[in-house]
Amino acid sequence: MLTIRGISKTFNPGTVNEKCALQKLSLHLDRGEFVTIVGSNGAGKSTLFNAVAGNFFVDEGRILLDGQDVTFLPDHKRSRSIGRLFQDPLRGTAPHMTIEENLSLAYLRSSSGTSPFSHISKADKALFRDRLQRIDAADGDDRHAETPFARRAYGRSRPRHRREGAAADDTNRL
Amino acid sequence: MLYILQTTFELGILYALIPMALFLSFRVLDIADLTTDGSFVFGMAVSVTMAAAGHPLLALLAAMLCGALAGLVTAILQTKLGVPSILAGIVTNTGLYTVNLMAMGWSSNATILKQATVYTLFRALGIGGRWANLLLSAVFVALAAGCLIWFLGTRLGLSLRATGDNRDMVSASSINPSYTITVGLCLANAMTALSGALVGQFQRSADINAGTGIVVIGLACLIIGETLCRRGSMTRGVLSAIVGSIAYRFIYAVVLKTKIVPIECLKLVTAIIVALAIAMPTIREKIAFARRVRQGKKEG
Repeated sequence: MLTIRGISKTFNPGTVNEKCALQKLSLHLDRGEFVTIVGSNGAGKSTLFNAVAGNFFVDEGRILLDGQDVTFLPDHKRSRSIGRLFQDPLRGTAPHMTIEENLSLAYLRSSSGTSPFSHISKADKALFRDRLQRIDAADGDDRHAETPFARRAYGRSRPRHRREGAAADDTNRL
Repeated sequence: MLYILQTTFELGILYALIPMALFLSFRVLDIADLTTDGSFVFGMAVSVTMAAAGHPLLALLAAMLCGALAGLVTAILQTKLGVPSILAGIVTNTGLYTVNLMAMGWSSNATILKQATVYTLFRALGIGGRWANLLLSAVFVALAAGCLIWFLGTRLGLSLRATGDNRDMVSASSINPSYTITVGLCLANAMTALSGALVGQFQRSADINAGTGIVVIGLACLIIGETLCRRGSMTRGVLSAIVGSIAYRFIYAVVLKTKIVPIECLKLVTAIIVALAIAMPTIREKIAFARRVRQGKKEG
């Protein structure tokens, strides 16, 4: 459940580049609702998205997630309860790390109880392989999990892996 | 000849912790940490002063702690206070000069006279004969390398690697990049300080200028190692730092012996090698581009 109450955001205030991207915007989404936001270039779709994810703090208004006020919560803390996909899939992955390592980073979010000094366990690896195979049945090569991301073919497989990463836990999704 | 080889290995192993530290800060975290020069001397000064006071083993621990502290200062400057990362290192480094003088009792050098060092203690055990010094340094470096490789495989280590690879993704994965940078810089500087501590006890003295340019030498070692071993996994990276350090000392010994290059020029040569090696991808790109332009003109 997401509640946004009258948020505003102005970029570069007081300069010639001043841009009021969000103005007194309110929105309420219930659990399980699927919403598409439509707008022309520069309408503020991404700004709204980034405000919810916590890339910046809004100038005014409140953002509530599952009843908890997250308005001033930094992005790395908010991302414990929000999973997100970047517009640019390259921004959502670490190119020099293997798919397995990328997935385990995404998985880290949900398993906050484990020690920071623990390694990727065999059970985790099996889970990643299983999930990978579900989306990648055509080339279900086991070794793929250990090749660095950048060496994998670009294009459709990348966002799909990332989506799987975002879905590696059961948090709210954007 | 055997003597030269022995010295090469001894120095190569002693200084190997610096390219290893730079592997962590420069390669993994993608931060050029200029605290290195200062934290090397910091470790050395603390180690020699404490060994002179009769605590050679405790001295190593204290030196590592001091190095980590220096890293912490640099990290706080750049993550919490918005100082650009290169400047943060330089600022800490400058401040450390005074701290290092203080650690040596407000003197520009300190010596261990008759007191025990970890090396004399180890030799007293009678293991290794004339290779005892090398053996002991190798044990320390192997331990540090083992810990580093293990650490990079942990969840925290993975977060560290991701911070250097893609910072946006890290904060979107609920990892605080400020935290990972801090951990990385503390670890790297603790390793650098340990190297200084070992060198100090090995040569039984510390000098305020011992660290000048050591970051460039460390980078040279790292790059030489990567050229010899190729870049690849984390384990390979750590090991190539050690290989590079030994190779650098070997080149140093050859230059010293044959005088191909006057020894006074070695720092300049090192600087040129590092500059060229880091510039190489850009130079290659420019050459390829110039070739395409020429070809285009021919065809057009």
